[in-house]
Amino acid sequence: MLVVDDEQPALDELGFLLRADDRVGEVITCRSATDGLRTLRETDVDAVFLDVQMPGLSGLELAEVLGRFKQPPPVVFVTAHEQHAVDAFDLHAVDYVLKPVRAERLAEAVRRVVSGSDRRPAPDDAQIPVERAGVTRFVDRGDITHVEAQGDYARLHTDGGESYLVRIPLSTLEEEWRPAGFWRIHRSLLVALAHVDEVRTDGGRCTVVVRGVELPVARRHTRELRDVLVRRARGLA
Amino acid sequence: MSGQLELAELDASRNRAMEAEVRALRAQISPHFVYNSLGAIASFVRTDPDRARELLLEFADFTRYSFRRHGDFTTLAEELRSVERYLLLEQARFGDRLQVTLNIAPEVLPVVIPFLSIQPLVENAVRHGLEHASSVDEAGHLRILAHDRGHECVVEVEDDGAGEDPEKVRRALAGDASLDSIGLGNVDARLRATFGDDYGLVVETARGAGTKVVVRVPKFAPGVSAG
Repeated sequence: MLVVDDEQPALDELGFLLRADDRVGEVITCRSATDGLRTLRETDVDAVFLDVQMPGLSGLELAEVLGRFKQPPPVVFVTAHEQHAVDAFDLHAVDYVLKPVRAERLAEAVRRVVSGSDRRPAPDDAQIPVERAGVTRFVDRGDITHVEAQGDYARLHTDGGESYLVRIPLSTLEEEWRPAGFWRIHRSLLVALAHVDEVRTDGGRCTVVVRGVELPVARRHTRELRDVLVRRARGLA
Repeated sequence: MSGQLELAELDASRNRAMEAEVRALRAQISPHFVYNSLGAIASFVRTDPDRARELLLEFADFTRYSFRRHGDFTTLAEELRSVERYLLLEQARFGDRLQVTLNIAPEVLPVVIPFLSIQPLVENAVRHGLEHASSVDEAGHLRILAHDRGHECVVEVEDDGAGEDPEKVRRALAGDASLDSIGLGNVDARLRATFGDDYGLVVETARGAGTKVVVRVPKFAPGVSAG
């Protein structure tokens, strides 16, 4: 495995955690993307763990270069910043892990590398607690097709046609769920990209069909939405 | 009579605007900074537990200062203490790559300044100097100077980092929040609201040429005292 991070303590920690994993053999550490590339010129690796924000060549730029290799090594992004996780989607990274790194989370990333085939985003296993008539239930986030803002609250709509009100503002969900493939399409709407069936454009007006439900896409979100859907499609192809 | 009411209203709305701006800055502790610092500390827990503990305490004190609620003003001494804590945390991540020189004249330490008027400038400097550096092998140099100039105190924050397009800086100072260093426009606005339009930020920068931000503060201003 190759680990690239410009911050020494972060590099040490990730190196240590990986070496502690039985499935992992040799771990090579590099403090810059350039050093990483030099290493890869001479050595083949099974996976590259990359920090995103680095001086000089960034982690994302390096991943792009790696993608052009004849045999691109699987890439796992390690980042303090969730925003970069969205770009990880585009570059077909196998996984992304947040800093500070939990050993269990890293183990999951190693599992995905080892199982090899994973180019698709992993099934979403997050569960959201919702309350109805005083009883708390858990909704699988993977079942949520879209979210609608209702003041300071948000209405979660699921695949099965149910809906639940949660006391979380849409903007918070937008930020927290972006790495899970939820995209803002409108001031009051968030959609799960995984559930998008179609994008329709009709004389400048754009809508998405999400499991049969047609939702409006605000003008300013249209282009971004189309881009991200195209990139996702390429990744899954 | 109505003139007085108008002035009072103007004052009140100016204060509200300033409060909002400080609130905005308080909420600005960068998540990137938080999680990278915590990540570095996690690493030290294993390799240097005493340092890890020390860093955790600095982190707590740093966030405490940033979340402080009482008053819009502080002393240069207090603000610089926070700056020092911040730099300690950044040095935990970057080690020798962050070289800092502090040159503070003791007589200006009690000078009263708006809360979070120097801190954001230092954060920008670290970002320019390190996070946007061109190489991991080059150290970023940061210089903070504070000296007495008669009836004013002058603070300079200088870095030899990536520098910035002067046009972008002009826009940020004019209130365009799209520029990354949102702190710049915010600090400038509050300095001018407190001390008058003559006391805005002066920024010298160019791409690849580093950045210097100069803050001038009158030593005795009416209605300004640390809470």
